[in-house]
Amino acid sequence: MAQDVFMDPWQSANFPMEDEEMGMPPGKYARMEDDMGENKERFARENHSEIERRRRNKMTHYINELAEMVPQCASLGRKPDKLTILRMAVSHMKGIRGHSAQDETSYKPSFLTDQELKHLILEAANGFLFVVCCQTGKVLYVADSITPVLNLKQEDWLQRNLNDLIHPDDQDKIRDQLCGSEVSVNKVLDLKTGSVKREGASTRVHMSCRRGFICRMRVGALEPLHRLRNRRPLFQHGGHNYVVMHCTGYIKNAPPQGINAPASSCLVAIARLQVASMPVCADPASANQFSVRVAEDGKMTFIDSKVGDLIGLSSDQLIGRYWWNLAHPSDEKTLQDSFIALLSDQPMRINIRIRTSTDYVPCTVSAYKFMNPYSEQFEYVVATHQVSPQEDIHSWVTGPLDAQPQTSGFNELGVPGAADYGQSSSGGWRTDPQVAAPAQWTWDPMNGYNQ
Amino acid sequence: MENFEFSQLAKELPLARAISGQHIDKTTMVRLATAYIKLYNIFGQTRRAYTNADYYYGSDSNWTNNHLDLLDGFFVILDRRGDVLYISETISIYLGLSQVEMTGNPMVDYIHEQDVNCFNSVCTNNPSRVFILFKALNYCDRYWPQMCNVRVKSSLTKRANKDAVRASPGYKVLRLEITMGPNPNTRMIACYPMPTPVLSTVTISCNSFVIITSIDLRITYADEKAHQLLRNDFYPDSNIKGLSFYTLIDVSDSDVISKMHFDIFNLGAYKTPYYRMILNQTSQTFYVESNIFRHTSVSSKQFNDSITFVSSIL
Repeated sequence: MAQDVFMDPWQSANFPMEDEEMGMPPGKYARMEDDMGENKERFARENHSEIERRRRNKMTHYINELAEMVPQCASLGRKPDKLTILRMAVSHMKGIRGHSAQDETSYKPSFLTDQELKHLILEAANGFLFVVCCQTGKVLYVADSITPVLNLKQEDWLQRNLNDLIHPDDQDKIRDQLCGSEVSVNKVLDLKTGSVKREGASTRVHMSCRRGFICRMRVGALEPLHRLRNRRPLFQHGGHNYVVMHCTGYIKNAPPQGINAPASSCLVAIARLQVASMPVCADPASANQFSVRVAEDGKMTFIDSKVGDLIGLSSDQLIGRYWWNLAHPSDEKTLQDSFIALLSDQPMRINIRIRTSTDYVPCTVSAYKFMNPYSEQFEYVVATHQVSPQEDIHSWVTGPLDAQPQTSGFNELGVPGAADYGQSSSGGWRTDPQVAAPAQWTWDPMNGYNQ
Repeated sequence: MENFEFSQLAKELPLARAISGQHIDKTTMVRLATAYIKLYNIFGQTRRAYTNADYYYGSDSNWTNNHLDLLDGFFVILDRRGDVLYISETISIYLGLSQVEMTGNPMVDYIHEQDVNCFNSVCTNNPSRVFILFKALNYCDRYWPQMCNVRVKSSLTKRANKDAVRASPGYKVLRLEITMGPNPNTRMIACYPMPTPVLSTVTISCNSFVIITSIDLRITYADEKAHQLLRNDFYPDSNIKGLSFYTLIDVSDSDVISKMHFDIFNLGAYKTPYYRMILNQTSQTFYVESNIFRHTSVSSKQFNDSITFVSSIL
């Protein structure tokens, strides 16, 4: 099953292998035979030869695979026998380990060398190792793999205080991690009730030095950091960028060997960037769009903060108002009708004009109903407003609107006070009679583009 | 004759002396040897590649093997067929499985059958999809890891009992981060196990906040911190209890939670990517990452089913 996960033309993997026998300890078959009780004698011979056959098949399969991996076998030009394969495999593996051969007795092979393991941690976990003194907060050691992760040099970290390297808002959190015991950094949650208690004395002693926390670390110039390109979130503070790092490790009573530092407890940890968790930044096309969440009654309950940059209205001004109040007065009805149609499951994508602080802009509105996946109950409508880029507008909006740019008072409206919050109607928006005039305005999508 | 060659082979295998030779059958030896050579072939190439690359690798005398212990997870390297080329021995801490047993065998043999499709799709999609999207921008697949939550066999989990109807006994939920390996056909996977509830309790960081919902994500409980962050500031006495969890998240990220909502029923535990929650129902949002647990229990009267969000602010 699923042998060809990566679409491999390399090897015909149709060798019969039952999943359940893979990696089963040899003793297991013996036990199974015992279980068969009285049938044992009758089937023993048959069964045993069956098992033997499968074992041999498996062995042949693995031997063949090994033969393919050993260059000496492949260059032979004919299929070597098992013994030759083994012999050549041994000499190939001796060749792999290379010059350490002189020390035959102390040689201990490992799947990966230290360097390769560091590489693996860097590539697969985007992580680097660091050591911090708990008392002073000084960085005693940092691996050079910090460079591809944060684009900082080892010198940027060594002997610096960890506080200078992390987001100021996270400093208290880190102090707790460095100085506190596990009791102060963890708590126990009961999933039944939600009640929380501090970690009890029952915690095993050796676990109490384990640490795991999230903090934001400073990054160097972002340009060379391919991993982070187009990822968010990035945090800014004091002219620096910070990214979220997950740190795991433990507190040691003394600095690790090879680090020249006064005896004091240390945090030895790996910090890693969880790139796969970081959403990809919206593509450039979405820079001109903002989302609005609309409740069943048509009121806007959430507007993303981009709305301010795009149409100059703050979301505080808009939340709690009817969605169609956002539209040009002559388009209000269109939007409202579309909304009602959307609620009865008709797809929605319309072109209307929407308000800005001073004017109106053409805008493509698309929306969908978000249903609770479990209860299939209506949750809300999510509407995306694609505002046409500024340069298009002038060639696009013609006629009286262009001649008399509307300065009708969104600014004068100000932030809705607590009193009128939530009870807005189109009346509160003071539709200017001059605006109401071109009520026959209809949008022909080809018009604008043909000019 | 043959035995002599096997004992020679055993000496070359990357195993502790105590177990090689005597305790490993010949089939396993050949399987391990194949994986070992493949692994060398892959990393041998990388070493060359990296000397010309924009990478900076100095010598780190302090880097030693036990640093795998620092991580809250373990690593797997898969070859192009999805066979395990390398798996760190720390897997035994988390799942009770052994390095020797798994090396050379297909990874999917250890993944819950319902999650195999999910696993395969993130493994294969990884280069192709991203490549099409970002070809023009000269993107490299190596920098586009994928993540998924799957159940992996474990000998450390308890069987289902009457107090806790476990989603899948004998399995543990892992969050996998899958990256293309040094060779385009290989995959490097960082595996982070979800905390396993002990009875009904789970250890959490003290900076996180907790929200418990019913299975349709109506909030039934929220701790003090969650209230402060999420309640509607226009109504200072408002309570987020009874609201839908979906109303607390940025609409652009609602698919993160609805995907979780689908998956949590099978998986029983889930770790989300980063998503945004709405600060006090304003237009401001903040990033969180949540560990989510489904807790089911049968009391004398009724069947309880709840979903708990343990979220950390980033």
